[in-house]
Parts: sequence; C-alpha cells; structure tokens
Amino acid sequence: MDRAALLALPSLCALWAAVLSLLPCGTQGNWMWLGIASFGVPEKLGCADLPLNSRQKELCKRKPYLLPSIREGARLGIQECRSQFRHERWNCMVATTTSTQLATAPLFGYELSSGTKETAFIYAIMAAGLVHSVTRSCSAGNMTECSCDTTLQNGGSPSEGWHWGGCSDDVQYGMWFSRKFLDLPIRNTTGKESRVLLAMNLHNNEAGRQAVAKLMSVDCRCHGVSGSCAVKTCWKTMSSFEKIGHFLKDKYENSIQISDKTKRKMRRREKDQRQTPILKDDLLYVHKSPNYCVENKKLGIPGTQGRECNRTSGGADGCNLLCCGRGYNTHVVRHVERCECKFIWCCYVRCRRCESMTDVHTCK
Amino acid sequence: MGVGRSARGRGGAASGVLLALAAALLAAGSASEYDYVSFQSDIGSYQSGRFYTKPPQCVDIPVDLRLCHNVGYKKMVLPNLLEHETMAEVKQQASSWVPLLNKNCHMGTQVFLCSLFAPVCLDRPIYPCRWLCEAVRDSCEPVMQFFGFYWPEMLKCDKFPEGDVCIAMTPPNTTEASKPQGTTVCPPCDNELKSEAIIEHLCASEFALRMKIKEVKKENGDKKIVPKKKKPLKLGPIKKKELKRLVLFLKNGADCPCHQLDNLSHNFLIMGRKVKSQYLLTAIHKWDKKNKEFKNFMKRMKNHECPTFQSVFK
Repeated sequence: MDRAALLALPSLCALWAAVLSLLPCGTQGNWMWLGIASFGVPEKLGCADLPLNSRQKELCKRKPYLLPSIREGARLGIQECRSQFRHERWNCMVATTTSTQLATAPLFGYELSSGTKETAFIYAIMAAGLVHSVTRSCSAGNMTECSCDTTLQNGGSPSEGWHWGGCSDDVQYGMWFSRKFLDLPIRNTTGKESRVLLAMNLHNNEAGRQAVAKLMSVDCRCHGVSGSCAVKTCWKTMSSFEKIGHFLKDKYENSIQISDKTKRKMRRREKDQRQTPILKDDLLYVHKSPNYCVENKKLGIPGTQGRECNRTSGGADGCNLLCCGRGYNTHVVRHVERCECKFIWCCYVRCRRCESMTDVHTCK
Repeated sequence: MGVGRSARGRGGAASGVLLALAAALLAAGSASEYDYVSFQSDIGSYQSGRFYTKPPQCVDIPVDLRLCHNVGYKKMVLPNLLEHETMAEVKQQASSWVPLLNKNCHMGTQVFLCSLFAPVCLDRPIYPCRWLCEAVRDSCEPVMQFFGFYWPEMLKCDKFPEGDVCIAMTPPNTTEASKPQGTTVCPPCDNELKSEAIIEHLCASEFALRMKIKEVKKENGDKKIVPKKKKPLKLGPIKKKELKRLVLFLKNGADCPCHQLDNLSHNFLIMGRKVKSQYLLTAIHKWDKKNKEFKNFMKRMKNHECPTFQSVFK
C-alpha cells in the first residue's frame, strides 16, 4: 500500500508536468541525473533548469562554481555503483531518459525509495561521490571558499626526517557542503514519506561521508639529493574512489535492518540484537530486497535474463547464481587484440595482432 | 543468440583504427603481422601518481634538463613516472643525477634514468626493464657509495616489469663488456674539466671550498685530506666554527688513484657533502685560472642559480 503510493508519485509528477508543459514539479527534482552524460546539454543549463529541488537550486545559484563538482560527484557515485555491482543480480542500472519523464523519475527506479539495502548503498555512494569531487576541486584550486588543508602547511617531524607540504586534501569543506546539499532537503521534506525512511537516508548519507574521511591516508615523496629520503614531504590525501566503493560495498554486505516502527531513535529490527550499537558508518535498511531474478515491470526490475555470466565461477557472477538456476546460452566471439608488444628504441611500440575466439555465456 | 563483440581493443578509437587497418590489409591481400604505436601528442590513459592530479601532457624536453635533453627523443610526459608534477621539480630532482651520468658507470644509465624522469610520449606509460634497472644499479651503486649515496627507494628494481613491454636500449642477452683497468680512479677524482660539468657538480654538492692541502693520509679505508688554507664558496651544512677544524674524507678511497692529489703545491676547488659527521669529497679540481674551462666556470658561478627544493615544492 505504502509502496504503491510511493511508486505512483513519480508517475503523477511526470504526468502533471507533461499535461501542463511546465518545469519539473517543484520539489521532486533528483540531482543524481547530473551524473548521466546523455542528460540534456548540462553545460548550457542554468540552476533553474537542472533536476534539483528548490533548496538545491537556491544553493546552486549562490555557489554556481560548485556545479561542475556536483555533476562530477553524481557521475562518480553512479559509475562506482555500477562497478561494484556489475556482476550482481542487482547491477545498479539506471533508468534511461525520455522526454516525457522530464528527469523527474527516480534515476535508480524502485531502489531509490524502497528502503532496501540497495537504497542504503545508493545514498551512501552518492553522498561520498559529492564529498570526493568537491574536495578534489578544493585541492585543485578551483574554489575560492576552500583550498588545501592549511593546518598542514607547516610542521611535521624533523627528527624522523619528514614534514608536511604539498597539498593535503581538506575533506571538511566537502563534508559540510554534502550535508548542506543533500541532508537539508531530506530533513525539510513534508510528511509524505515515512519518518523512518527519512532517518535511514540521512544516516546512510552520513555513512558515505564517513567512509571518505575514514579512508584518508598519508602520501609521501622523497626528494633529497639523488632521490634519498633525507628530505621527505608528506600530505594527506583521499583514497581513490574505487577504494571507497569497496569499503561501502563491504558495509552493504553487512548492512543492518532496522525496525520500521522507530519513534525517536533508530534501532535494530531483531530484538535480541538491540543492545549492539549502530555505528556511524554502518549502512541501514528497513525493507527486504525484492527478487531481482525475474523481470518486474511494475518495480522497474529487468531481471537477469541476457546478462553475461562466468561459467567457471562459483561466486555471484557465476552462471548458477546470476541466472538463478535457469541455465545459460553460449555463443562464440572473435577477438582481435595486440599481443607480443615490444618497445623499439627509439621510440615506438611494435605489437603483433592476435586473433582469439572465446565463449560468452548469457543467462536464459 | 545475443550480440557478439567482434573486437576488443584498448579504447574505442584504437579498436576502430585497428579493425579498419586489419580490414584494409586483408582486402589488399597482403596482411602485415605488426601494429605500430608511435609518438603520441595526445595522451589519454596515463594514470599519474595522485589519481586526480593535473592531466598528463606531452611537453618538449627543455635544454636545461641536462640529464635527458640528449637522450634520443625530444618530448616527454609530465607528470613523469616519478610523480614529479612540474618541470621545475623534474629539473631539481634530476640535477643530482647528472654527475653520476658523467661517471659512465653503465652504458644504459641515461636511458634508464630518463625513462622515469622524462618518459617517452606513448599511449600508455612504459617503464624501464627490470634487467636494465638491475644492471645499472649493480654497476653504479658502488660508484654512488663513494659519495655516500645508496640506491634510492624510488628506483627499486622489483617494481619494474620483467616480461611486459619495457624500455631498454640493448637486447637483454648482451654481455656487458667489462673494462679491466687494473685500478680504477677514485670517482670523485674522475672528472671532466668542463665548466658545465663543474657547475652540475656544484649544484649536486652541499658545500664548495677553495683550499690548499697540507697532507693526505689513509684512515679506515678512506683517504683523509687535511686542509691548510680554505675559503668557502658555498658553506651549506658547514658551520663557521667547524670550518677551522675541517677535515675531508675521500670515501673508500684509500687505495684508488687520484691524480689531482699527486701535487699538493697549488690551490684546489673542493666540493663535498656531509654524511653523518663526516665531510665527504664529491669532486676535486685544480684551481687553474689559466685554464679556459675553469675560468668560464668561475664566471658562470657568480650568477648561476641551482634549482632549489624550496621553490619547487611549496
């Protein structure tokens, strides 16, 4: 009942917009669409034309220099989600744009509003993507409001032979902006959605941000005479977004189901587990995931038919699991690749061209 | 059932070109076996050290990048394979390797070093061959030790490819022609009297003195050099009160010849560096005002600026 109502909203929204030929419904914009390259002509669109909610549009107008980072953050999140789930039954495929939808449909379909583990991952990875791209912009000197972490410009450990230098990533600004851009709109949502879903989304956004902060590391470079480490400069840097994606995927695999009857504080669904604390970087979900094996047009689930699988693998990408026991088809594909490459002085690489045939398996 | 992919290449463009080439050649009935990837002014797939640093680009090797400007190609990728992000940084770090190059410890030294400091512009990064690294290291580290240096972490050989595409000038099986010279000259004494080379040494050394030598004697496998009179040109780590009691060491040089020290009756240009509590000689020249090259060096020294670490990395 609740789910049906939730599903109806996007359709109603699109219908309304189409009928009235107006801009997208005021508060239903989804910023994640900015990460899709084929979406409109993003470089030419102003804040008012983008799929943002009203508060996000206002923030966009006040800080237009952040628009490239927001777009890049969305792209990072979507790309990493696809990468982490590319061999799973749910493979994080995004909806394709159509003119009638006017980018108000949920980018991830059912998964974005379902309160499942998949919802948790999407919120976390998108929030992390935004932190990551904004912080990169700060370090690259693209912003006036932020830059390198200036508290680490001097100091270090002369006795150990190193000192702070270079450009340390200042993740705090990115965290602040991510909260402002993503969390405030959620907090200010009217009572249409369940309170527990809102709390869940806020928590998972923060879990994504905490992943970026937690995985900060120290990079060093030796630049003494003849490459010696007598002189060494160190800086703090964010991990690659792939590493952050792995971290969150692991959290997804160990995510925690919370009770849907939460009042003031979120608590675990299983009563016997309620004494175990919920950590800031845990991913939380309310509802169990649907069956991703078979197509469900109502929920926008494509099923695994036609997916490429690995015949020899026993893991998630193996044909047995991915095809849900339905079996697979095999066909032969011819590849032409460079092989036996050698560098010839000076200066080119010479390769032979090799042809090979491989079996490709797809789910029935 | 299902759509098969007929080719898989490195990137769509390369794949397309490859297919077109294959089709054309097959149609002509004279299929060549080889593909060539030559100079690339547009570099796409490099992943430099910090993954979001400025994008790699192909730039001219400047004349004043002395380590590499005559290596055999004219353009390099920046940032390089040692994660140096600016040309100033490349120059600063490369300058201390130029004196080693002049020692001719291995014929592949320059090719090896420049494959990292000034990597050739191709569609992907190509590292030096592991065997080349090992050959250069094994031949050159003994020379480096005369100056108090050891093979640095950043050039550790086990990080370079073995069977993959890699850079080397000569085939792997070439036997290195060893030169049995009986006794080799002490490396700090094996110098070319060229103003350019002396300047490079000056920049790579921590201190430089004009001095007269009182005596030379052996001590713990080193040659100990006791000065008589000294005038600093570049003090570096030497404190003024230490200057009075300064004693220099020719590291591991007890038994190798140093022809400059055969005659102690004139002034010397001495360069060195401090290692722990010892002052090591890195280069020695007779102070010869009549020599054209030496005179040229003195003139150039007055306004020459060595690349400095501080200005590069702030």
